[in-house]
Amino acid sequence: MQDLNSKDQEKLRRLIALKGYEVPPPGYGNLLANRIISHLEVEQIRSQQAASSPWFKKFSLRPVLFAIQAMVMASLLWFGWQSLGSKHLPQTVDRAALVDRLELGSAWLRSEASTVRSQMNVHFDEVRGSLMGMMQASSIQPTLWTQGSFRPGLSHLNSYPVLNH
Amino acid sequence: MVDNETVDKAIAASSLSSAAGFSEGDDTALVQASQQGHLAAFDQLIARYHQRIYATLYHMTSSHEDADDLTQESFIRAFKGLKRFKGDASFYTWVYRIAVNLTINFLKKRSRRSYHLSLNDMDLQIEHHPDLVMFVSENTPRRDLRIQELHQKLNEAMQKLSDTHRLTVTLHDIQGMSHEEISGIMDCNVGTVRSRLFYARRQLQGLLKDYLSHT
Repeated sequence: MQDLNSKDQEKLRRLIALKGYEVPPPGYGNLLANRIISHLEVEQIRSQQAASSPWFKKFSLRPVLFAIQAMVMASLLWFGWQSLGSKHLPQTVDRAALVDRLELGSAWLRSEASTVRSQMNVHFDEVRGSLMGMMQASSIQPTLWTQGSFRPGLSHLNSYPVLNH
Repeated sequence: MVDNETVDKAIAASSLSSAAGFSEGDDTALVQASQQGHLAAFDQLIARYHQRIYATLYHMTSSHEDADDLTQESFIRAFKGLKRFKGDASFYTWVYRIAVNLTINFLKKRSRRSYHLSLNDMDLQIEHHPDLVMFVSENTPRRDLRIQELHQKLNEAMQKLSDTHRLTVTLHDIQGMSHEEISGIMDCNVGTVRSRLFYARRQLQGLLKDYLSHT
């Protein structure tokens, strides 16, 4: 290891030390403390706002986080559903009772369906009767267009409307 | 928990100590208040150390813009990481370490770019400094040019050092820190600091031999 000459070393030390007199040009470093504090204040306000904002706003701000949370919630619901289902459903099923219930249910459905159908027929007949009466009483009669009859834009076919009563 | 009264007392004491002279001993109260989120206390800590950190980062980067940004980022990171500060080292050493690590990472990423120094970078009083008079002995119209040239050569030589060597020289020869303080900041032992300083100086001596041999 080559030793530095002590005189040169001292000269070098003094030369380098001159760099310590360099000062930043105006504008640099002067307002640094203010800028740092302002930046930190803004961050503090933002974090406080984020902490006090409604939970659904937090979700909308972070889609990935929202997706993960949604998956977690869905899986929790699924596991909950599974565990509840396994606890509350009877472990053994009385087949005879189940068949009886099903037959009773289907019989009730059949009777209800026939009642509804007969009521619908009654209503349909009433409506049809009233409509026919209205048509006969009215001066405006429905027009039936037959093939070759006159229609706008097709006058070359030399056809005329046929009125049906 | 630090109450507002304690924070006010710490800030008042800090202001008095600042007025009386530099004191690092009473950082503890300010650090504790800052850890509770009191920005006024942290403001005092910034006021104490930002100039020295800025100067170090400037000598590391040779750019006022970069030094400005890095100093700001260092203090912001320090505030965010204050909860992790256990007080094993002084706040001063701890924040310096953050700044230095940030700057070394920045320099690794940054491509070496040219830098220009003007006489505006120097305090005007230095023109009469005996050391500068010694190195720029000519009392001629070319003297200003010689001063500028000296500064440029000095900065170029500094930039040719490795990041760790430049940091060691900056902290020791420009900032006047002890080997022990530097070892705390650079997270290495004192022997490594001495070794880095030796090799850095030897390299600088070769780069600045024109100025050293003239005087």
